Amino acid sequence: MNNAPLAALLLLLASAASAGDWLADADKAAREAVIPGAAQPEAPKAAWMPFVPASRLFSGEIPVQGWWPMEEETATGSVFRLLGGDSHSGAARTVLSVRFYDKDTPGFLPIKQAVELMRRDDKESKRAITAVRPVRVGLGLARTFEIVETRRIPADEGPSFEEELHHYVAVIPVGEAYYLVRLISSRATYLEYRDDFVRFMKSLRTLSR
Amino acid sequence: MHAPILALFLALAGATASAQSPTTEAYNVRATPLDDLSRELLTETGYVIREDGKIWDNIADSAVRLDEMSYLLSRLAGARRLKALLELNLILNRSEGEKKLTDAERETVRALLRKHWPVFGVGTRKDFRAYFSVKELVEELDKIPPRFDRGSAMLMRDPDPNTAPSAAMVAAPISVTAPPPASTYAPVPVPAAAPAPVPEPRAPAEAPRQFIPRSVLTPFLEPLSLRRPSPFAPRARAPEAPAAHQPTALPAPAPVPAPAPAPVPAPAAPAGPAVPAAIAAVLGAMAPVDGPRPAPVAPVAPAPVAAPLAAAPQANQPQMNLPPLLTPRSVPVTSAPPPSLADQLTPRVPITSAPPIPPAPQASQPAPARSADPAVPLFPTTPPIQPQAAGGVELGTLKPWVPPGGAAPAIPAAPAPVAPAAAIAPVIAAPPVPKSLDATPAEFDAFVANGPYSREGRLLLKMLAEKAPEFCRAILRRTVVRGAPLIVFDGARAGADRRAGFAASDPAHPGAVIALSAGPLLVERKKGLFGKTLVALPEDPRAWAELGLARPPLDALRKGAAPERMENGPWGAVRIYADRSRLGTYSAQEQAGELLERLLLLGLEREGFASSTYAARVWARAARLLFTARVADDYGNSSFLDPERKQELREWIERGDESDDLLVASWSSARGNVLDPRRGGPESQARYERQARESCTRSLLADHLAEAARGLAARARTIEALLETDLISSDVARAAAGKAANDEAAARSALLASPPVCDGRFGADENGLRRSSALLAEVSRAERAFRERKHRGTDHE
Repeated sequence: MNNAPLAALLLLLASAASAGDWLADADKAAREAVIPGAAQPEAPKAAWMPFVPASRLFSGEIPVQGWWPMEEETATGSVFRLLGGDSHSGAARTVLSVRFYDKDTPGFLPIKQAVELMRRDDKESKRAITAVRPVRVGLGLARTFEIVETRRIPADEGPSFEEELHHYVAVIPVGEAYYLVRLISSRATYLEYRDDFVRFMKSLRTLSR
Repeated sequence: MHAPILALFLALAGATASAQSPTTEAYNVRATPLDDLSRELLTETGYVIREDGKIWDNIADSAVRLDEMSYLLSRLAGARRLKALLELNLILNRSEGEKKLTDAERETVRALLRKHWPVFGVGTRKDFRAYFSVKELVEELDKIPPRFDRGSAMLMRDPDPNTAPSAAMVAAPISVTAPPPASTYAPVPVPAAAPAPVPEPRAPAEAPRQFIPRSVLTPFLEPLSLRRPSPFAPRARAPEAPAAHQPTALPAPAPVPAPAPAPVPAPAAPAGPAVPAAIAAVLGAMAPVDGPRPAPVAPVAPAPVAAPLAAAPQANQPQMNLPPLLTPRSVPVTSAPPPSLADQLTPRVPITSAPPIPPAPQASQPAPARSADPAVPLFPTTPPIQPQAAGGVELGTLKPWVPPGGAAPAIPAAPAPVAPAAAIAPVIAAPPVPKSLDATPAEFDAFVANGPYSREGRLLLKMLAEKAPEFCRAILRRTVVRGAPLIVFDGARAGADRRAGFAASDPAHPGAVIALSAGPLLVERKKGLFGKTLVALPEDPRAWAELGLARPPLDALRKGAAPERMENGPWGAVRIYADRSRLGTYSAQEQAGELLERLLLLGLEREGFASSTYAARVWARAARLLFTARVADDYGNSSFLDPERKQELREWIERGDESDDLLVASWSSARGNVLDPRRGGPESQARYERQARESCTRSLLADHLAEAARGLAARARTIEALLETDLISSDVARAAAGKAANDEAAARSALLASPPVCDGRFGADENGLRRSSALLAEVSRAERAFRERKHRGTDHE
């Protein structure tokens, strides 16, 4: 039996695994580079820091390294995102998003219907959903569930391969309104982000809006 | 004893009375100038501005009082607003519905809106923004701040009939020489206790138009300049670019001459790249540089030179005679070999603003004058750095990185082939900025009918003219009529794009070439014990060259190969070949959607709206989705889409939040390369770049390193997946991955040995980023309207 393909594959896998996230590595390298005349940036003192987005969507804690916050205004209101590490395939970066839905949101659905819609399965993407599990968080009782689905990514370019993606979803009611917290990552690595997701979700607090 | 108390009581009573009673002081336009709109409102309703500054009410035969002026203006503005809305209502009711307005009706509505825009509030403006293009809004309408009247007409007090006009309100002769109007639409200030000081008369042209802080109204603080250089064009240095070479931690960096900093052209050079490299390539072809290229259809005026040649330290260098499509690929920081075809494809859309990686300086020659670089790189890419000498490179592994310092790594023994700086650092005039001449629907139709399009191309363009969302129609027409892009049906010219892409420029045609794929190229592979999976592959050899691979010899790609069988399925009519490769078919409707997205990206770039790649892509994608949603509604289903696009549309409509998150996840990955996680959207990108300016060299180094690492990740992981699916052999995979690793290692070593010199790119394109923010705002508005209609169960836009 010819073991060359296997060996090459293992080599590639090992290289990718050891590389970590390319962007975090590059950032670290730039931060640590000695540039005469340029001050050395201070290393972060804590792994997590308190955070309030500009939209005052919430307050909470976010990890300092390896995650990049991003906020934008969309058709359904403000969205806060934390962009994490790239997937093993290099085609999907981990994304944690926070949204707030209330009656003023276009296309607002009450929490029950919204959860049902999110949990609707889909044959084409082989969408599988776990049962709803209540989790006590800072804002109250979150309804959490997980989704696994298969996507062909990148969607527009080739070569494009099927990849399994994983979602942690938490819907946290605040009166009739609710927060929707979602973490999308490659299924191969989703467990690495579980603790981060839970910690962030538990630290989430509402601000007067 | 009681006298003081009595006096105090009388004084207080008098003060209270005077505070409660209306003042009799007449309003005087000399003391408190009126803006143009207020003047217009007054004069058109019969008020007369007299020579002495008083405003005479001919009906009441008295001067308007100071304290009632704001109420009066509020009432007049309200009346005009009401009249305008009634007129609009009449037109819309007479028509067959807002969706089916005729051209004449639409123009009437637009004219009415334009005329009365100053009196419309924020909400009304929001409702009617769809009638205007982004350009009209940005350049004209959004500059008019909404009128915030402090006095409500409802609170206006009736004049006291017993109050006789004071001596100050004696009629004055009517003036024909009114004081110069203050060119502002600011409301009249509420009268204060003390009379306002008489302002210096200002010339109308010099008077600022904005009085209300506009940041709360519109993201635009400055007018657009369509003469800004294209983000893909070589640009001049910003003023802060240091002349001196940055010392490095490495031994013996060659001394660099310190040229005088070049002045910056008025429109600030954009800081980053915008749309995919392929677009840049194509756009370059649209912009004649200095050669006698045939003029495109668009009446394009040459843009001013980004930086005076004399100011550039390498002014004696020959003008780079490459079309600008190649210039972004060239390595401008130091010197580099001419870009190869593969280079043009390497980063499809780069990490925003990530510059190309400078090759390592050669020890034997002085370092090139990097600070003199007049061309800020737009499409950062790893230059074709030669692999290191054999040995020391393992397949697909990142070489351990050692920070420069005491044990600084040596410069690679065999660095990239470095061309002499003088031969490469170009000083190129900014490409001509297309004139923003609008193209009417009739002009568009005539151009499509007589333009260089095949029957299929005409069909698609006609479909777009009918069904494209309103908010993008104007730019669509301009792009087609003025840019005259060619449309070819050839997936083998679409680059890495699977449905539509930008073909390499055609020397016979100065415009862009959009290549539409006739159908997907798929290969079936086994997955697990019983499963199967389809791998979608690009047809264009350039996409494979980008990976360092040859296109696999699939039957589906072989000319004359006969399929084993044909079948109709979700991928259309599919030809299935013996080696399990297959060619599907895209429907004309799907091709039209893809064409729309490409045309819009092209248009955004042409008109300077592509400073943020992410915003441009979001905008164009939303237009495509709205278009396909409309077509799907017309057809009653979305079966004309391939399974992926169908799923995308369905999810975008039903679970827009999840769809957006997945999009961001994909676009911010190494292979997606549309969104730089560090920069985020356009607003945060502007903030990031302002901060990056403070630690410019380090930030630039971070960008270079990130781009090198991204290139490696994208290539190595794609190669790995191809190997896993048996599409390439292990030897080929090993060689290609080794080369990718070598390239990255060499680039990284060179960067750390000699960090790139700060060139002032950070924060240089804030205006462009504001325009990009407006794109996102506009697309949010369009999407919100669509979702609200869907939610109500009515038709969409």
